[in-house]
Amino acid sequence: MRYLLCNGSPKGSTGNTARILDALAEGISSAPGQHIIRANLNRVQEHESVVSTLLESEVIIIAFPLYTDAMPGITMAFIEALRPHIDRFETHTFCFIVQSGFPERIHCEPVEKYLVRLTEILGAKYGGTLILGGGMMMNPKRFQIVNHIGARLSDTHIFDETCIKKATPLIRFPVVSRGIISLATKLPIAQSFWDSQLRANGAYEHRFDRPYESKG
Amino acid sequence: MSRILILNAIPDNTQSELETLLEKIASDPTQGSEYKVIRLRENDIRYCTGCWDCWVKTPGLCAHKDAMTEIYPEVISADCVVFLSTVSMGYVSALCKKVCDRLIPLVHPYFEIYQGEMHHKSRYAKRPALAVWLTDESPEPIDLNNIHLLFDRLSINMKTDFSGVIHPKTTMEDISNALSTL
Repeated sequence: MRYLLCNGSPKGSTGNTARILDALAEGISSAPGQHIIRANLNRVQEHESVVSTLLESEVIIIAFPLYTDAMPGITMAFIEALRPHIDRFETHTFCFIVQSGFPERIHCEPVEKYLVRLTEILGAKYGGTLILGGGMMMNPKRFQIVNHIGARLSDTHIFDETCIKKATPLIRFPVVSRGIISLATKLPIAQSFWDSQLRANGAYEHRFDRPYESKG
Repeated sequence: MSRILILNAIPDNTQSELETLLEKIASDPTQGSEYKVIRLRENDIRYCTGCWDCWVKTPGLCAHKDAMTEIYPEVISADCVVFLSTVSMGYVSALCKKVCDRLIPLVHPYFEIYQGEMHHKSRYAKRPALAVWLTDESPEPIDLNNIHLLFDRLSINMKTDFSGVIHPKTTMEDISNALSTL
């Protein structure tokens, strides 16, 4: 089976999307005879070449971080580059990975709906969308889920439904816990991830600046 | 009088008739609102690279020094920002999405609970409502629904109102009427 793993992150090989695709590729490779090609989508001038590779592949995985509730603009530019080939995807399966810093699935569900529709527009088979919420970083649990999805992919050529559900089970915070979480976000420690970087960059005192506001 | 900023994300010049009508409406002093139209394709606008400089190095300021530097103050001072786009592969144009991504400096990195969900805090007290104007007069219902859902989410993230998706016929009267509903 020929796989194309597309990294839709503007950060290319240096970002967390690349680490997720590493885990997926490792899982796919656990079965013999799998042919994997990796491509970064962060250079528009290379999109045509990636499309050519995509046409020769059978299972295509497009992974991206959630940017303003959907795919990054550069990934959308790649999707537009598929338009001239719409009638050539009948034998292709498209799977997607969306990663988000938000813990709830609700942030990614509209783009998931869009990805189903995109696959229909392409005339391809939809192989599922894996939503990885709750942080952009790779951890052992996440690695195991993605790796297992890769291993199963070589059998079924679609993403394993059970693993997809396990990855981000929280759709929204339960009503009873929202007040507690809201209070917790007001504690200094809740923002420590950002504060430590702001301090390291000497920008902490300016963190509430509004540089584009009219002075008039 | 309300200020409406129309970010024209039509990627090419195939809709010149519509653009001419739009410019007429925008310059018509009898219209009920003050319009400003920016033709995005004629501007140097780079893709967001997710560098987070606008959150942790130069708070609120985008690292890119391009046309968005002039567009951000227009966004902040508008009452409503309308994304004018073709329907592209079931969504809006990549040009439109590129500019949506670049709105990130307008929010703060800190998290808070908003409408029962985790979101980023707002950086600015005044935030324009958002709306989408599709150039296709009869978009597929599924595409219309998906675009509505996705921009509704963006509006929640920007903590502002979503004025909806319009797709008027390409006539002066229909466009004027559709814009007056925003």
